[in-house]
Amino acid sequence: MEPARLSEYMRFFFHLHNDIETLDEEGRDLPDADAALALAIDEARLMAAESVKTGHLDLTHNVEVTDESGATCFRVSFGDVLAIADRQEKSHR
Amino acid sequence: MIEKLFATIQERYAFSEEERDLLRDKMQETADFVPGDIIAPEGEEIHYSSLLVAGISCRSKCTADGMRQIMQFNIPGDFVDLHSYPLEILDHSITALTKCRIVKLPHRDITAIIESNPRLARILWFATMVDASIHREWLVCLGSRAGTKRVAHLFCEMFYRFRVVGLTEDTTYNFPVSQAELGQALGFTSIHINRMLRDLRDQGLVTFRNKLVEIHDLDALEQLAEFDPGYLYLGRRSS
Repeated sequence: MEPARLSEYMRFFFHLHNDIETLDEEGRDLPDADAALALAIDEARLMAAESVKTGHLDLTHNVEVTDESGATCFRVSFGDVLAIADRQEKSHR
Repeated sequence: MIEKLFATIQERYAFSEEERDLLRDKMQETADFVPGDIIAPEGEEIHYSSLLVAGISCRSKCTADGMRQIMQFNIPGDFVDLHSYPLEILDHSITALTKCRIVKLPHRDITAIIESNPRLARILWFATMVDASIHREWLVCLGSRAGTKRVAHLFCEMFYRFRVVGLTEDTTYNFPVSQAELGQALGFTSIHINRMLRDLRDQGLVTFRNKLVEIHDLDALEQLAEFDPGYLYLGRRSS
């Protein structure tokens, strides 16, 4: 497949909603919505990992992706992209 | 045209008019680049060293999956690849991040300088040693300074470097790089960079917006970053 030319790229904005709101004013140019979703999932996992380092993880915290018009394309919450097993669950296996 | 280079030398060495004229004489040819252009390519023989006189470029390497690690931001007054003279072929590339202009110093002229003016040769050698020192400090940052400390450290370093070449106003300077590029330098994703910029702003330390860095409290920013400008070797040498 031919790589997308830069002129065909779309700009997506990645806003972080965790303990505070961090709005993305700069955006990222990406070939399509699939690429934006993949990036949002990576970002959500990495930011969840940052939360874990502080000892507090809220699974409703999320990354919201908007397009250039400001419309929300996706919202990826930390809980959506993490499979969490606890000890009780494991002991039943 | 190469006055910013002279500023970086004069900061560290007494620098005579003859030495200036020698460099002026040998540095005449310029080249212009647009963002994304390669100024000095990886893996190809290079016959001149490039002095950046306008714009911002970066030293970087890419991994097999296309991730770019930025190892240094170059600013006006920096020789971006003086080390291509002894190395001939670079293991990394220098890429324009904004519109850039360079002035060339042909390698045969560096040979002539070394043979005729050992003091100037040592001054040029010194410049490459400072680059090596900056790389060591970045290794410490990437390995051992976490989160906002690492971001704060970069803003401190760039402040001191821009100040030498007269590109600061009080504690404010233009730093035309994107959050993604900051991330590629500091080892964070852009969303994480954005979140840490928010923290630094909320703490009243520094604001980075519209490519402008405004340091609100330099002492506090340096303290957070554990920043010691010693590795930049500012101030006059003894000889």
